[in-house]
Amino acid sequence: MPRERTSLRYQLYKSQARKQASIAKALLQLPAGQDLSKVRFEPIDVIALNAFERWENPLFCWREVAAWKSREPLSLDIAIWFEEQLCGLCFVNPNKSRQRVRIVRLEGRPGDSHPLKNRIGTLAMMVIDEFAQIIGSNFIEVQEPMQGAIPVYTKLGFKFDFEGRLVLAVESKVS
Amino acid sequence: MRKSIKKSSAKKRSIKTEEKIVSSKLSANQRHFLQLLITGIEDEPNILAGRR
Repeated sequence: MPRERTSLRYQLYKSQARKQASIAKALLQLPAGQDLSKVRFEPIDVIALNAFERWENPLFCWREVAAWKSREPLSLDIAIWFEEQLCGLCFVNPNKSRQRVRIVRLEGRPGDSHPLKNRIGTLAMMVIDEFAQIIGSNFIEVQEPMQGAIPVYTKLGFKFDFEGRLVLAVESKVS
Repeated sequence: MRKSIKKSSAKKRSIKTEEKIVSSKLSANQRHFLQLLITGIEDEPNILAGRR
């Protein structure tokens, strides 16, 4: 298949994953005072990178993701927004066989003040899991989990496999 | 005799219908994530993954 068509197909997979996660999130009945309807999943584009520049003391330089995206056409990039506030960024890349989707980077906005504090990992995982199902992956793997984040992954359902990799099995949709 | 024109089912499908379809097809992982979204995960660090 010509490269352009493949690239378009991949773009479709990514936007489908973001859209499906948004629809799933919309089904949630939250207690009064909580509102996740303003959460948006977008690609890491110029708008996201400009908003990222206003983060105080981030660990990673997310500008380099632009180059990674062009090098890895099947990679998935996620900017997690609450209204006009950029609250989280994530970059994911499947391995060659697509059996594993690897989380390369995941970072929430530094500080305690953003409205999606304590929900960035879960929101990112909703999109990643949809993406993994679309491309037919069997596992989501955290490539280099931060030590302090292991309990978060455990709550999300991740386990260490016999090779010491932190993984979550991707389940197919059931009706 | 007037000929009835049928609308395509795709056009008639509303967003609510789409949501219903999705909800009936949520994987166990997705259902678990939705549960976690209600309360959040306490003490989630800002940095969750990546090479320093």
